[in-house]
Order: sequence, then structure tokens, then C-alpha cells
Amino acid sequence: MRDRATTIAAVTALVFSAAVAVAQVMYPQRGNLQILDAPDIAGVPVTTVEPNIALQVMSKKGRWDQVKLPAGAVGWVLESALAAKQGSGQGGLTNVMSLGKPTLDTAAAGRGIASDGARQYAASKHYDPAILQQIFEIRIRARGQWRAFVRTGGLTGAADLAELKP
Amino acid sequence: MSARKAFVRVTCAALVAGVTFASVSAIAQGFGDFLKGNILNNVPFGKQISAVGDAAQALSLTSEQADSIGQSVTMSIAAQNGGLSRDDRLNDYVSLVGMTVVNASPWADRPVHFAVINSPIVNAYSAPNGYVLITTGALAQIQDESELAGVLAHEVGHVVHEHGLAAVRRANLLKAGVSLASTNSSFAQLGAVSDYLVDFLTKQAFDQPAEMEADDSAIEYVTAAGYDPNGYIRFLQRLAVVQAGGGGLFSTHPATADRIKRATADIAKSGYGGGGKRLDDRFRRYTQR
Repeated sequence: MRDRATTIAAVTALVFSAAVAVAQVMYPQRGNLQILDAPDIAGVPVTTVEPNIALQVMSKKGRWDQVKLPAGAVGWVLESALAAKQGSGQGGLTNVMSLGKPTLDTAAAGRGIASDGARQYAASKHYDPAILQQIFEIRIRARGQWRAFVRTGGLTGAADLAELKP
Repeated sequence: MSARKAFVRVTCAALVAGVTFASVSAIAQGFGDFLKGNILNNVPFGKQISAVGDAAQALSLTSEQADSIGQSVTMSIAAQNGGLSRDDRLNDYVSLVGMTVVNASPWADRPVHFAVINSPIVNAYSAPNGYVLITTGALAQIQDESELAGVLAHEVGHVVHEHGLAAVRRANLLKAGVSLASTNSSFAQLGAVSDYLVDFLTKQAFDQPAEMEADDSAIEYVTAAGYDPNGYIRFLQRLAVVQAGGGGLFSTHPATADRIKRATADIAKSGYGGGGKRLDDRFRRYTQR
């Protein structure tokens, strides 16, 4: 009987401690941190977060943490981008310069977006802002090919880092 | 003018101007000296992963602001250097190789954009917050994918070490008479620092320590990605041979020799035991040689 109680207590403690360890609150260590829809660099950004946003770590997969945002959205981020302490954040020119941020819609679509600042810069120089859109589209196309590219090249180091499936 | 002399001329012009694999990062050492009491000089090259984000914080720039500067600089350099290549297959290939080395870098969780620009000059550029351009001239001198990975990884190293942001800060404080406070709007401020950075990238020289710092990172990233890190050495050696044969200024310039020596030591320190991929066949297929 005593052994059974001890076992139950030990298992309970183990489960509890594991739950606490996983459900840890972490903070982005840099601004504009992308939250991806998969634990993979080729994942699509679902949103971005700033250093003051508390993220609840739901689970882990290799170097990747599955996190839950305060609003309820869930996604993946590299563990190296998070820390238990809130980052120092940004300041200074923040109040002086007001530049455009990508919208969630465009981020969710995995598309880059020219900032308001870059668009105004292009207009002042008579540059075609389509250059930026073309650059974004190159990355979008490449992202879809990347897994196969790494695999066929036998780039095992990269495959390991990206947890590439065989 | 023979093709060889033409190549030597553009190569020497680019390298002596300090823009071979030019990146804003080369000036970071100087900026660091000014801003942080020479702290950067006391940090071993290639060991500043923990410093990611420091430059942005020192600048008091948000990542959105830094990205706007990076976008503006990228757009300007592309527009002034023949525009983007219309070869989608080539652009995709460069991006794929770039993504592979980025995945082996501390920026694996952040997007870095790669593209090819139509310039005969042997050169590559990086801009703040993850924008890398490589010229068709540089691609013409590359012989396999490991070499391309090395060149791109060098630029990614500049991005990771946030040298571009350091350049922006110096532009604000020291050069060109740029005073953010004197301008009328945030966009004017952005334009001023972007203009300065473009000018610096295309016309001024970079110091050796920052280039070596990016070289260190290049060896680290390509090795981790599974490429033969000697590809980067081979490319540097090829440039040095061409430069010496041309009798240009670079034939007596110690910079490339020093970089080759250091990068070779890096490979030894990395514990690279061989087996890294060169992928010359794939490179030829994508570049249609």
C-alpha cells in the first residue's frame, strides 16, 4: 500500500513538474519576431510579436517551441529567440519615426511587404517599388522548394538543423 | 580591352574600393569603437552571436524602422546596378542556397531575402535586417555551390552581426552632416540614413576586421549547413590570382591573403573533417553553364 502511494505521488509530481516545465512563460528577445505555422524555417509566418509579449510555451520539438499568444493564437518559434526574462525592447526613435508594419493578413500569406518608409523613399527617388515585391516573391518561391533542395543536395547539416524529415 | 583585363579592372576597382562582398558591416568596427568604447575590438571574431540585437538597441531603432532602411538601401542598390535579374530560376537558386546557410546561422528564425542584380562588377551587398544582393559578375566567377554558399554566408554574417545598423548609427552621428533632429519628418530621416548607407556601400572602403568577422561567420555557417567550407577559400584564392595577374593594386594588397589565411585557420578550428558538399553539377545546371 505504501509502495502504491509512493508511486502515485511520484508520478503525480513528475507529471506536474513536466507540465510546469512545458507551460513556461517566455518573452521574445527581439522585436518583430515571427511566429510560424510549423517548427521549420520554411514555415509560414502567422503573426509577429514584440519583446513585451508573454508567450506560453505549449510544447517543444527539437530547437522549436510551440507558443500560445495572449490572444490565443498558436505558432512556432526557435527557442533561441526566447528568454524567461522580458527583453529590453525598443525605444528612442520609436516616438519620432512612425513606419508601417506588416499587417497580419500579409504576414499570414507569407508575403513580404514594402514598408511605408521604403515606399516613400522609392517615390522620392523615382524607383519602382516593384523591385521589393519581386525580391519578396523570390523568397516565397524558394521557400516552397527548400526542403527538396536541401534533401537532394545531401546537405545533412542543414537538414538536421531544420529537423528535415526524410 | 580583353575580357581578362576587363575582369581584373572591375575586380580591382571593387576590391580596392572595399566593396568585394561589400556589406555595411565592414564599418561596424569603427562604429563600435566610437559607440561602445572599443568593445567590439575585444570580442573574438565570429563569437558575437549573443550580441544579436545589440546594434538595434544601441540605435534605439525598432525592427520596423531598421527594415525600412534595409528595404530602401536594397531597392536603391538594385536600381543603380542594373536592376534585378529576370532569371527566376537563377534568383530562386541563389535564394535556396542563401536560405540554407541562414538556417545554419543565428538568424534561422528570421527571413533573409536574396536576389541577383545585373551588374558585371564582382560584388555582393547586404543591407540591414536581412537583404542580400549578389551581382551576375560575382556569379560568373563562382564555380560550384559551396563557393556560392560561402559568398552568401559572408553576407549573412554581416546581417547577423548587424553591421548595417551600426552603419546607420554612424551615419546619423558622424558623417554626411545628417541630423535626424533637423529633418522635417520621419520619412525624411529614413531617406537621409538610407542615402548615406547606399553611398557608403558603393563608394567607400571597409575595414579589414569587420570583413574577417564576416568571413569567420561564413566558415561557421557553411560548415554547419553541410557545404565544403573550402569553397569560400577557393573563391578568395581565385580572386587573388586574377588580381595578381592583372598587376593591379590588389596584387600588393595584403587584405585577401590575410583573409584566406584566417579563413583557412577557421576551418581547422571548426573541426571540419571533410565530406562537405561542393555540388558543382547542381551549380552548373542552375546557372546554365
